[in-house]
Amino acid sequence: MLWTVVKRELLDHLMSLRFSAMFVLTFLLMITSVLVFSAHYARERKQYPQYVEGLVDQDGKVHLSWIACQGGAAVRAIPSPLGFLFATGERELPDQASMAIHGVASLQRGVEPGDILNSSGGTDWTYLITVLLSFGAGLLTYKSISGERRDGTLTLILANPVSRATILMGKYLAALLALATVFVVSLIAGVILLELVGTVPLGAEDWVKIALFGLLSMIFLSVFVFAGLLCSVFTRGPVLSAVAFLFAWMTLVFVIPNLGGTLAGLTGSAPTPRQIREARLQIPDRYTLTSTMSADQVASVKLERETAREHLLLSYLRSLVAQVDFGRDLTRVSPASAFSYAAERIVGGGTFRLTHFVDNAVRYRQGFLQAIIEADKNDPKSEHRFVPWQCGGNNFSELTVDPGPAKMFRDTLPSAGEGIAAAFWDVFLLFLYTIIAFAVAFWRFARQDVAPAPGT
Amino acid sequence: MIWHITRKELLVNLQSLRFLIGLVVSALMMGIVGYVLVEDYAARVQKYIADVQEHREALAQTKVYSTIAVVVDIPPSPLSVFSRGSQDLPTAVQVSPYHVPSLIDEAGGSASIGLSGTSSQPSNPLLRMFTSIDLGFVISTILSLFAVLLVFDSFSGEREQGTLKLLLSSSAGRSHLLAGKYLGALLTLAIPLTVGFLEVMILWALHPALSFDASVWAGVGLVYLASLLFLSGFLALAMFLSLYAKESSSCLMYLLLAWVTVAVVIPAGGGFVAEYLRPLGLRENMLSESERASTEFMKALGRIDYRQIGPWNNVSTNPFEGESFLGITQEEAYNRLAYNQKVVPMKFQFAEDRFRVVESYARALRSWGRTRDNLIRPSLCVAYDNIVKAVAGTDVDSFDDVVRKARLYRDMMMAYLRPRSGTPAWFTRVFDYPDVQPTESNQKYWQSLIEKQGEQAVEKILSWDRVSPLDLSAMPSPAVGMRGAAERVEGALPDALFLFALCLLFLVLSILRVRHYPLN
Repeated sequence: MLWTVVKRELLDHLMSLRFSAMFVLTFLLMITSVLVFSAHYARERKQYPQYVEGLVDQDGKVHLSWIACQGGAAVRAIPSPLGFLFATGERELPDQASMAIHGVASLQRGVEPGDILNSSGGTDWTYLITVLLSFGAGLLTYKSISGERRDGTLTLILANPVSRATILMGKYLAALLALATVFVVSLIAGVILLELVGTVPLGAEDWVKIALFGLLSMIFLSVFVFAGLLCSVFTRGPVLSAVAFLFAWMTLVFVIPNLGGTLAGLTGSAPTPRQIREARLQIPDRYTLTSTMSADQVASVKLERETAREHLLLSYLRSLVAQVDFGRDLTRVSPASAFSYAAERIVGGGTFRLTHFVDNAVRYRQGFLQAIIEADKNDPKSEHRFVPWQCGGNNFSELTVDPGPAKMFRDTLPSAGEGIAAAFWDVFLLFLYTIIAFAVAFWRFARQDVAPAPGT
Repeated sequence: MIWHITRKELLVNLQSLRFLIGLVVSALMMGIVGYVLVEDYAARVQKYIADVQEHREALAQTKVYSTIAVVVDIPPSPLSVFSRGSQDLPTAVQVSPYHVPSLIDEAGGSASIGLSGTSSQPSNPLLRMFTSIDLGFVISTILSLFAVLLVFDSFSGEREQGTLKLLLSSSAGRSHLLAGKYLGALLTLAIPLTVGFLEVMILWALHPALSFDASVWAGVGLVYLASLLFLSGFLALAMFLSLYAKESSSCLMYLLLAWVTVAVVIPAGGGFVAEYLRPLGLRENMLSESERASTEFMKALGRIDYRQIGPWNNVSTNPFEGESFLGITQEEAYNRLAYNQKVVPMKFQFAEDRFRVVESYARALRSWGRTRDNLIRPSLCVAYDNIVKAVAGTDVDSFDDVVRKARLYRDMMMAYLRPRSGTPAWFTRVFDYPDVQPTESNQKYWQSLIEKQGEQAVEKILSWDRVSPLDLSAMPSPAVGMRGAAERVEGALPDALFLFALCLLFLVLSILRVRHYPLN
């Protein structure tokens, strides 16, 4: 019986003008988004440096003593092949870590000076789903109960041996299936296009992420399908349902998510740049040099200072991310925000990706330093003493060697597993919202007067 | 007759539930955003004052001419409450002898996270990943939705209730009815708008640290008018589309689809098209040309015949007889002076050459940006956004203007500095402290240095601290302010005219359509 309802509703939807309008809009935007992204990605990928500038010379070798006094090397975050799914932060957040071999010094945005003139950032699928398809969910459901009630067909349907729960579930499934049609067709077309253009190589992990993203989107849309049904169940006629949905949609999709940055800025818990500078200037006092120290002790104190600076930078970054996350925690009452944060994690973008990249950079630097120190041990002329910012002397080997794989920086994106783990609470929240919306809609519909209300 | 209908419509709207909810939502939203942005503005003013002070002190500490760097701080715009503009735009422009400021160079690096704590850094660069939200945004999304809500059933609703026939049986013509309903809705919409503006003004007035002059209030007036123009345009569009729908509820949904198209689809789609049109090779060209310029420069440096310049022992009379220099010997001072007289003019020239390369790239990018703007301008929201940004002075053009003024200032500064580039003070100072003594505070440092580097070196290092700064009182100081009100209005004019034309177009179309509106 459920499937009869679903089938009838689904056919209704598929033939309606609003469905076609929504389909065309979504399809076109998702396709153009992919096209633009693939061109952008190809350009980014071409510019991605093979060697770490500043540490390794052209033929892949390293002058051991010289590397100790070098700063200003930089590693870049690898461009994400899934930027079309979630792009927030791809143009705003730092994507480059400046370092010396003894410490990551700062993070900055790589060179794309044109970005400033290009204020309209990329429109990714997450945004399109949040705005267009969630609206589509309302479009398909807002009058599904109130409209039938007004037309008097609800009484007719209930005259059949079919429960109210079945009707509600039928309408829900039909709307969700219609949305899934729009989404899945656009998604498949987009991905096929991506393969045809061929500039974006997708690995197995990426396919898993795309599939997970699809699933996540469907969970998100199911919240809005129920929201539409809720509006339809609680109001007297389709006009009121539409108005109610409009207000709900506006609040959930525009008002609450956009307050995130504002709220995060208000709390101001992150240290200011000036405080950080003060903290940096205090580091030499904590690791003091005295004239009685041996050369080895001086070297180790100097290295400790560099490590402390790196730690300061990392903890600064953590507090900045925490401030952002605080603003987001507050906006999670909106499913649109929860969806976008879950998408960020599953796709591996935004601040999640940034911290992952910085971890990669630090790990790379430590591994490289270790390799250098190992290589130095083979040189009998050296005194095996690594002193930051000091080259020359007999402290460290003067040989030029190939340090092996440690010289290569391989940036990886967070794996799908890590993404799911980090997105757990957001997905849970989305499920929770679905269940609450369903429960309330069912509770209300079960005791509703199905006769047409007077005056509608 | 029109006024009669307008009055009735207004009263009906004011009593409706949707008006109440809409008013509360928009007043809340504008209140919160207004509060945060006013606080943000006050904080930025504080930071601006501190920065100006810090940069002035840093400049006053300059000891040789070659390291002069004047930082031109850009005052925050009080109207940024209405439009924050691009957050990538830096708050200062650097002017120095070897570098000509350009739009491209100044605009980098604002996303950096480091430990140096330079004042140009925003307090949390990660916050840039949130959409920047301002009152302009609230008006162009929330109030435009409100506009849709007010007019979607103005005709279909009357028809469904059967009152349309009654209305038309009176002496009012159809176009009068349309005009009356339109004006009624516009007046209704003006209420939440006015409330929002009043909220901001109250917040301003209550804030202890802020006070404004007449030009700011005039700017507020202009933004208000622009908002009204935008809302009337949106109302006209909604009115026109609503005349095509059979049923009120589906009319609302189609209007919302149109709203999504105007507010989301056109800006995004236009951006996509523009990305496609983007001149891809430009940046590579710029980089290779700037590379070439620096190679040329290096080559030119290599061509200098150093035998003609020095060495010291070829000179019969010592030009620096009896003087000692900071950090260097008399011989070094002489050699470097001779070297500088050759090389510094070349460095100036190189800065100019490099600037020309970068600037032509910036111009190309700007013209591409204008193409994109033109593509997405048909969206009322974009045109409105452009107007507010231009009036508030937070758009790229205003920033470009500051950079241009900074360049003009650099010319004046160079006129002062050029004659001094041939003097020893360009890179060193006469050493007039032969009696450097360790103080109590630097004793430990002093001891360890002497152990390592020997007494003479230490003397040199310490004496730099004790040298008096240059007297720069005769150097022109920068007078770079925001664009004048007239210029800003001029920048906003094309978009305002465009918006006005769109509004008229939709009104005329509505009048044409309403003549054929079916009664049943």
